[in-house]
Amino acid sequence: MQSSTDPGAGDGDHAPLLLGLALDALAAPASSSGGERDAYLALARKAEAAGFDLVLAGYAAAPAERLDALSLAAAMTTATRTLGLCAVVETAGWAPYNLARAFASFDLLAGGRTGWFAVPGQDEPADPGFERFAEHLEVVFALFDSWDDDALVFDKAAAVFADRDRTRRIRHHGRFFTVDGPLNAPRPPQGRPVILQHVGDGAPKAALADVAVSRAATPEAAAAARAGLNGAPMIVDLAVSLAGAPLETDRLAWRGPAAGLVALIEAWARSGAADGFNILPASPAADLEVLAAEVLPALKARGLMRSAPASGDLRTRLGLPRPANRYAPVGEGVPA
Amino acid sequence: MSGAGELHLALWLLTSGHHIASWRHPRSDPAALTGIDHYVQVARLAERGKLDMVFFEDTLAPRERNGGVFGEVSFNSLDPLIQIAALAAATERIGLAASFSTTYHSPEVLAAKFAAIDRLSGGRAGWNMVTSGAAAGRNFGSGEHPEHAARYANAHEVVHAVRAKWAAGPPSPQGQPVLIQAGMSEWGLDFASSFGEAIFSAFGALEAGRAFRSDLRERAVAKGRSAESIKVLPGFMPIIGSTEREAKAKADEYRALIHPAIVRGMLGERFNIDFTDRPLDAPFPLDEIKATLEDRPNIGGPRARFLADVREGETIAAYAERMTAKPTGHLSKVGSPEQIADFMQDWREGGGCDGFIIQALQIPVEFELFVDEVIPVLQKRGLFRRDYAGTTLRDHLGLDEPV
Repeated sequence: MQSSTDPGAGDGDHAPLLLGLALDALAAPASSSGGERDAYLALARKAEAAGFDLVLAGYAAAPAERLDALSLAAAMTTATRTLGLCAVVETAGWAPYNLARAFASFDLLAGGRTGWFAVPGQDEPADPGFERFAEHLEVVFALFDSWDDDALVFDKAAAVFADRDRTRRIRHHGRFFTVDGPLNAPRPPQGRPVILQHVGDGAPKAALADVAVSRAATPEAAAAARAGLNGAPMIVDLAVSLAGAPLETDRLAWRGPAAGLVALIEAWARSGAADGFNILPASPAADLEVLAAEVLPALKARGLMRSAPASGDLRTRLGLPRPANRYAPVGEGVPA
Repeated sequence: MSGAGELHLALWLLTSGHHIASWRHPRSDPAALTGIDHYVQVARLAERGKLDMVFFEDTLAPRERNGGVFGEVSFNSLDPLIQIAALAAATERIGLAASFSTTYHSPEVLAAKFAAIDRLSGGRAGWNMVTSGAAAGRNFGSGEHPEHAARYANAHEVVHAVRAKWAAGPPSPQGQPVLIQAGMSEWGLDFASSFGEAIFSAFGALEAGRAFRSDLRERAVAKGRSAESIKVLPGFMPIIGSTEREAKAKADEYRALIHPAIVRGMLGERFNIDFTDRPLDAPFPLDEIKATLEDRPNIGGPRARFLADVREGETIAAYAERMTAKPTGHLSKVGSPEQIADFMQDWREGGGCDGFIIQALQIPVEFELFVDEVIPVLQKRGLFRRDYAGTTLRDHLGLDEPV
């Protein structure tokens, strides 16, 4: 992913690790006196201060207790300033138009910090080849491009709020969806939110992913998963329990003192088996205390994390390219 | 929680305001409309004014004219549920309500989203249940847009399904989100009296508003609900000056913001023919428009209503003059804070409403004026709370938890 010449790169010879924190994966944070909301907000603020690149809502929680992921991620908007805000959203149950509008709105309102972990949804056995899923993403991406980056002009004197010639219909007529467009929201600041997708057994092809997420439990399995990728960075699920909570998982896991987790992360990173980790805490608030106080500082000291504070949008932070608008003439509307 | 005769107030938080050209006002900052800070500032202002709730509308297509985006006016609200989710963390007391269509969202997604926002906000969520019109259909599939009857039958099913999912999930501090409804057709009345707890209405005259509210309350009682379980909030645009004269000057000032390009755009949006290059002193093209209506009978409804208002032989400019003179609010009053308060009091005491949904001319400046100048008058008269008595939207509206 990043080259070591990036201004935000780590001090050592290794590209900085991409670190995500799942807010509600193995367990939801215990409610503080301020209630459920404040427990999540405290978690997000602490993750940002500790140097996590992003938080992830809606990952693998028990459906009955799950808070809607996009709403939870959106609730973090004003409590954080630089943290990536990502949500697992199933395409099943959503019209592409509504999902495009939701993420375009979220990316605008959150200043380009959002990510969509795209999954087809468990209720979709009728799509074994993930063709509907692939077309869904395609339509959502086309809708993001139905407005040019510079379509909003706000010219009060000439009474032009948006230049309609820089908006367009997408006229999609596919096997599963027919969508005319344009979207009823401007193009997201990142062009497209960062797209996260699973890689490996049972997952759709991650051809459109900006960041691949592997559930591999061994470096060998991770290497096999990476082989199918087109150079997208790959992070690996890592379940942790650093404060004594029980831990049962089929993922790569660590239960014990912080030093052992640092050693595990360093070994995986230096072997090139992963570009980062999606940390799934067994006891979110308690584990994050240890992660912030011991684990991330140790990774920084080893040159495995960014030393400079993050600025800019989530794509910039992660060293990801900004997607060109498919409808823009070559050389126009695409920042260098 | 609410005394007899007390008002309930909501703010319809529409981008830069309800005046079609409010974004052009020197004190408007259109570039702020894509960022969260604008909405947080306004929601906190509404909270400072002790309003019951802020409300965001839902749309399923951009405003269009002549086959493209209506670029002379502000975009529609961004996704309303992203906005109220973000505001749930940035506010403490104010209710957070949004429209979301029963036609194009699945009950699962609808139920999960409002339940999450209700939990995260500590019981402050409200759902305005809307069905979606034909203009949106082309963004949602390949089939014909569902006819009215099918759309409405579907809406009943969706609301039942959503409520069942809420009842099966963890309860929020207010039991369930407040159900809101707008629409005054026979179907709308039946639906509202079955499910609706707050009703947005649009009447220009007190007598009609009173008849509507009485009818709705009677229907609710006939369905085993109490008359107090349903609150009617007409849309209301106050145009406020320190004197009536100053308020009138402000109304003129805003009207002057309606640039000829906006006038042509409004005409194009209404009648679906291109007015861009037509001289405004030409005769109104009545026959030309009638011909397009016959081609597309399904979209003739509102367009036919607008056409009925065109006078034989008048120019485009003469029609436009009347079109732009009409206030955008459902109800409106131009005057001093005391005169605005008088108007609201007359409607409340005359039985026309339980409160209002405020359609501020411009946001935030004109809404701030309402909060700072009109609300204190209402408070002095005992017509509006000086502070919140409870924590949930149901508390503010004086609604019981659903059974």
